[in-house]
Amino acid sequence: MSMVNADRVVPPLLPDEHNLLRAVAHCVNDIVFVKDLEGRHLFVNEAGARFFALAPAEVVGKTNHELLEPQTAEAVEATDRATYAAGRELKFEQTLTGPNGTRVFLTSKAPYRDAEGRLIGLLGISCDITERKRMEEELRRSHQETVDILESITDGFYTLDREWRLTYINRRAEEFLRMSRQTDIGRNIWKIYPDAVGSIFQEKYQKVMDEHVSVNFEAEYDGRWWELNVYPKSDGLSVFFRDITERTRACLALTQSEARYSLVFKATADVIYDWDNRTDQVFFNDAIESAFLYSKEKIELTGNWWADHVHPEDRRRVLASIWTAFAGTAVNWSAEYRFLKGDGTYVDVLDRAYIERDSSGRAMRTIGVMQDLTQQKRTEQLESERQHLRDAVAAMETVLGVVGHELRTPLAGLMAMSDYVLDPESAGTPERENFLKGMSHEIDRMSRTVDDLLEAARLNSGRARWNWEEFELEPVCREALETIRPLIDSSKVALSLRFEPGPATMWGDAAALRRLIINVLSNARKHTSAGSVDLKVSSAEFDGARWTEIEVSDTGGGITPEVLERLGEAFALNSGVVGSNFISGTGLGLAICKGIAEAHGGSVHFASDVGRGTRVTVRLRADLEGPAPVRQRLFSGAGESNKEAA
Amino acid sequence: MILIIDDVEIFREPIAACLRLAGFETTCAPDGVEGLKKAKELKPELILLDMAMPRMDGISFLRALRDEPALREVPVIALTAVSAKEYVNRAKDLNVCEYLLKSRFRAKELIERVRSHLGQSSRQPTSA
Repeated sequence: MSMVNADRVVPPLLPDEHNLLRAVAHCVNDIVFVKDLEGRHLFVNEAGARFFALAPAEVVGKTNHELLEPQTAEAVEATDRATYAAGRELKFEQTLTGPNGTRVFLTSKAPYRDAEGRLIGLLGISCDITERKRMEEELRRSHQETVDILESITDGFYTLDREWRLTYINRRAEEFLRMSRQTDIGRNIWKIYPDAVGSIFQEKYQKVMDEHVSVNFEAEYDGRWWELNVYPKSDGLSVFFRDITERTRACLALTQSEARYSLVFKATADVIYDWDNRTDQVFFNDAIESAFLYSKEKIELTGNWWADHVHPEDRRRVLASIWTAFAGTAVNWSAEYRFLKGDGTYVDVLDRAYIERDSSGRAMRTIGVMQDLTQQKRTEQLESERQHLRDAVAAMETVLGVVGHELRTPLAGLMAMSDYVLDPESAGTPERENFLKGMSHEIDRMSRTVDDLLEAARLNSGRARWNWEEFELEPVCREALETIRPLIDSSKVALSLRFEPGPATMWGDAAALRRLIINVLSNARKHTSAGSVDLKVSSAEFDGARWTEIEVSDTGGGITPEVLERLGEAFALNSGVVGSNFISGTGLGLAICKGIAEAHGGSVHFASDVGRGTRVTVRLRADLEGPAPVRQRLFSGAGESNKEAA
Repeated sequence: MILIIDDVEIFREPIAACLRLAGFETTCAPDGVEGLKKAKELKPELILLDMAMPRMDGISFLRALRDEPALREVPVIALTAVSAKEYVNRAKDLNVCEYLLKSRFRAKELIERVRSHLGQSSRQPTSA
């Protein structure tokens, strides 16, 4: 039926020609159709009928409105109208939905005219491009994905063609290489970076290009380190690269710092340990062998081994301290203790450790240094001795100055007196006789000063010789008293001696003690013009020791507090420290007394009231069977206070 | 008249005696206070002054001496047992004509110095 209709409107064709065309039309995959002016299908081929899910004969005579959804039909007719309006062939890309689904067509439509040129309908060919569109879309998306990836990666990326021209640069590469895709795409890379010509970059790129192998290398460029991965491509090569400067630096720094530490580890004389607190394993550096004289192969490298070699007297304290540190939150720990060396001797160590903890605060690892303090202590001791010597030298210089002064004054007198005596014109004068006596007296005095100096020096240096024995105190005190008696005007000053509770014995050097008492009595005598000088000797026991106390009281002028403060300090009163017109003498006498008292385990104390008198108390141990060391520094400056304790 | 001020008797007295043998009149004082009293009273031609003395030391004595119009020009020879250095600065402007270190001179030399400061030639003692 459709054939009839079609035949009716189709221009006259040879029957063969007609059939041929029909046959051809049915064979092609594209849709071929002819419609009349009302939109009715005059012809549709097999492919066209398949779209409608019908046979060609079922389509002929029907409009699109009868065959398709109204929306689709309208869309098709719109293109029909456009074609009629244009009066010529037009091409449309249309997405149409038929019973079998939605397809995309590229359709050519042209007005259909009869032999006389009258418009009688429309003919068209639709090519189903659904697959092609899908493939194109796929390809586009895939390309975009690639580009997106290349744009988003942190590596720099660019591609070169076989003529070394840049064909693509990603954003990172633009940043890294300070290039721009606007200006640099298409440019020869060796022209952009002439300084890279002949470099490792060119060498490696050439290899990739020539041998079609991928290459990975690191190189420095523009002051930074780069890692490059270069891959061959059919039309050139692609380059991935990243900045590894920081990593390289860190790596270098690590290598250097490791080298340093390992050097320190090896070179130090201190024992360094690394103690794994979970396994109790300890790593020691070589100093455990060189300094502590153990063979690493022969010792158990554990914390237990360390603990066993801490001196038994220190062990409890040290272990308690370190376990407390582990149990707490401290990251630092230190202790001083004695540690047993391989040769069986102990070494004083200062152990300082750093405790590493896990997230829960548990001690995981303890790294520490055991420093041998022997050397340090020796140095400290030497330094202290040196300081002692410096002090002693300074004191001796002061003493020499004062001694110079002390001897120069009588020397000047001796010179003047001898000058007078030797002057012939002095013959027979009364002064001549006086000066000869004076000279003799001065010579005695100077001689005594020299003796005192030597004795003080011996006491000071601890080289005094003692004649130690147990002796009766009474005869010693009487002898001293009798030595002084002739110098006292008995009509003005009373001299007395008493013992409390009675005469006693003591251990010591009797001669030295006599000298001490004479000295104290002699001072009292010098400063007492009227009244009394009393010597009282008492014995007592306290604190489980036997003591002798020798007390000399006078009714003399007394001593001012500032003088009292410096009594017994050799030369203090003559060295300008204290100006006084009534104290004369070197001060050596009392300094010697203090030294003697100290050798007897005792001390000398002074109490005085200006205008009323002075009391000197010498306290001595009576039961020392040998001399006590004399610590006193007779020639040094301020010592302990001389004032009697209340 | 020469005034000798020194607290050390065994030095002061033989020096005075030596000066007397050489023809000078002398007077002595054991410290600055006494010395000043005697200086005002006797108007000495020259003073031998120990610097380190109790009560009034050499420097204080010199200051007091120079405050007296009549004594301002009296020549003073300072005697010290230690170096003169510490006094030189402190006694500046106090018109000390010479510092002598004790035990470094004999009586003869001292007499020479005294004569020279008094403008006398040697060997021609002037009796007062």
